[in-house]
Amino acid sequence: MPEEYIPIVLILLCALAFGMVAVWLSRILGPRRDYPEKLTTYESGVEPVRTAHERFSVKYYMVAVLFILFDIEVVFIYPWAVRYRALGWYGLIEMVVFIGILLAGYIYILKKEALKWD
Amino acid sequence: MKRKRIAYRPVGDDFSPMLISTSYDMSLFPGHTSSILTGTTRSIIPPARLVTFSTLVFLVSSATAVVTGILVITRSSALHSALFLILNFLALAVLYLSLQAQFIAVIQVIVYAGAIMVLVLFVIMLLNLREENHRCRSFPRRHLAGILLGAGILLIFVQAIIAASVSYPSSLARNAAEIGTSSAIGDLLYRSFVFPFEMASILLLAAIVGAVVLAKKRFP
Amino acid sequence: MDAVGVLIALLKIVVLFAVVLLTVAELVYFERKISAWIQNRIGPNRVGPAGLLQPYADVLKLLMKEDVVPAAANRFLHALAPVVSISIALAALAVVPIAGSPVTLFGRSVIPVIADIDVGVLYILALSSMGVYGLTIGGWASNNKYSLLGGLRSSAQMISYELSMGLSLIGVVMITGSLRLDEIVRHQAGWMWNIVLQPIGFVTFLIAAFAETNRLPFDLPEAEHELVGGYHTEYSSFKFALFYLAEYANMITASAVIATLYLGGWQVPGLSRLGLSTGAEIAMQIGAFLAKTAAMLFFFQWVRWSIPRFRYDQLMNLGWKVMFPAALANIVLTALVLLFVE
Repeated sequence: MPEEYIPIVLILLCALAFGMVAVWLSRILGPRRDYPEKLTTYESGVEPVRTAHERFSVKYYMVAVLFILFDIEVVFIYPWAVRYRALGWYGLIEMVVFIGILLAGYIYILKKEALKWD
Repeated sequence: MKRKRIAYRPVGDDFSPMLISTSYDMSLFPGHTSSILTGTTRSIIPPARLVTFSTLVFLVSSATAVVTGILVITRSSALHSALFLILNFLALAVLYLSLQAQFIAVIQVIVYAGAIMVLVLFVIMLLNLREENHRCRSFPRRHLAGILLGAGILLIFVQAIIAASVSYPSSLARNAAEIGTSSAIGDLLYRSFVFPFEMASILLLAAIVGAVVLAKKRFP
Repeated sequence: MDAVGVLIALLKIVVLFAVVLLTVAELVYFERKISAWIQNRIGPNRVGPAGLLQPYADVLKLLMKEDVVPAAANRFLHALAPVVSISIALAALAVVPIAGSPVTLFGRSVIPVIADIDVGVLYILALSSMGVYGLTIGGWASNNKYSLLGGLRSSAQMISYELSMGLSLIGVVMITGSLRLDEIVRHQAGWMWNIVLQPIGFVTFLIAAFAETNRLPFDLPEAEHELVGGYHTEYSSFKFALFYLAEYANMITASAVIATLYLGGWQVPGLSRLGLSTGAEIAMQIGAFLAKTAAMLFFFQWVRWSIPRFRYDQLMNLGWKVMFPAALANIVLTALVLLFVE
């Protein structure tokens, strides 16, 4: 492992430990006075109807799929940006072709109104 | 501030040959092969300690990967499976890091653990997948197919690892820290592998069209 | 890295956590004071001198409260969600440098950042992409319709704006030619800050940062009038406090990152001409970095109390139809300018 990543592993472990200790502390310090009424789901005073795990609109799925696709595009651009000065015109042309093809997909999404929230 | 570049000796990375294909020609990395030869500082850590530390990292992260991988396919709740898959991806990222592939490691987190798993979680929540309650009692044919397929893949991996460990040039491991950086990846991708890179955009375009066609019920 | 190196790293981590947590406490106080000032009220003034101890009293109160977990909730995931949120918020600052030269501690040179890594910018993006899980899991585990809707909304919002965030930063990376935050700051010597070189990228990044931290005008995940608090409706006691802490810690991270990437980080124009000693110079640099971060934090508060909330469809439209093309155009523009200038 490259040496400069050891502190990254350390900080992630420390942060996780902080969160877990905090949750554990509140469980220890707080009082515990449960009764069935208190443990019902809160819905602005209305009696909860069935479970909350119902089916939801497909729009969220749509956003997630398009996010993955464009996120991969962004990830491809990063190493290009790092080397851009060395690549010069050649680099510009290859990236314009790449973004151009994906732009066609973006325009298709807009035309089909796949991202329309109604 | 003067940055120290740490050059790793081959002994420190006893498992790096697994990732690096033997077919790479070092001339693909112009600017990067020489940096260690031209006077940057050598490792300040005794090799022995490095071996134990990287071995420890490897053991912990690969054990996590195996255990979470098994949990992914054995949990009956789809949501729990997905959460273990996220852990599995994070363990893989640490494995990439221990192979000096820092760029690939962070991409693994962004794309797999960050983006793809969000989609999987969404699908699980949107479809309201409950516990898998209609399990087949008898030993179904698909289990057999799965085991055969898994065994085949395992065989290929074992063969590849044996082949790689026999004939890898020791210069690769020494330069592994330089190969994994973002600028080395950029040089490779945008000089030597331009065509596959452009093809990736066409693949993504097809995926965009497919997603829109599948998810949109009616078109205006 | 030997034992002393690990100890120094741990020391830096503890100092960072302490500073962030204390700043969150003061930030909550100042937010209430600033809102009071903007709305012509007095604000908290009872606990301690001028109400300064109010946030600590709040933390103590939350710690001593009963931790109510609804019977229908998934207990483990319900506890996991705030832990995920706070750990990601705390870890993101690891790559932000606070000064220009190393200091000597225990006889060895210590860099003014926890980890100076080759993929610094991507590390921040990776952590913010993991931040979605805290809210999503929290919303789902509560088994409450409001919570689930809030969690889903927040996830969709965050991933939409993450895209523009990643694209906005590419202009900065192209100018610097590196993903190391240290090199990005070094490249902004004098007054050549990236806010001057990248005005479009700065604006898109700023807007994306507001959406990413779920702050007004983009705080739809917790729109209290519509979703009764959103993903943390079913949270009480310190688990709720952890979500709250994470939101403010994210705000600090966002401010520090904006200061580093666009406002010159620790750079003080004309500092080298003053001829100060190295120690004084480092102190000035840390001061400059903190001042820039504080200015961005004030900007966050100022916007919160000035601009009304967006509607959800407006928010998604802005993200996908304005921010995304603008950030792409910024990349092409930067590429052309770089080619013609050089």
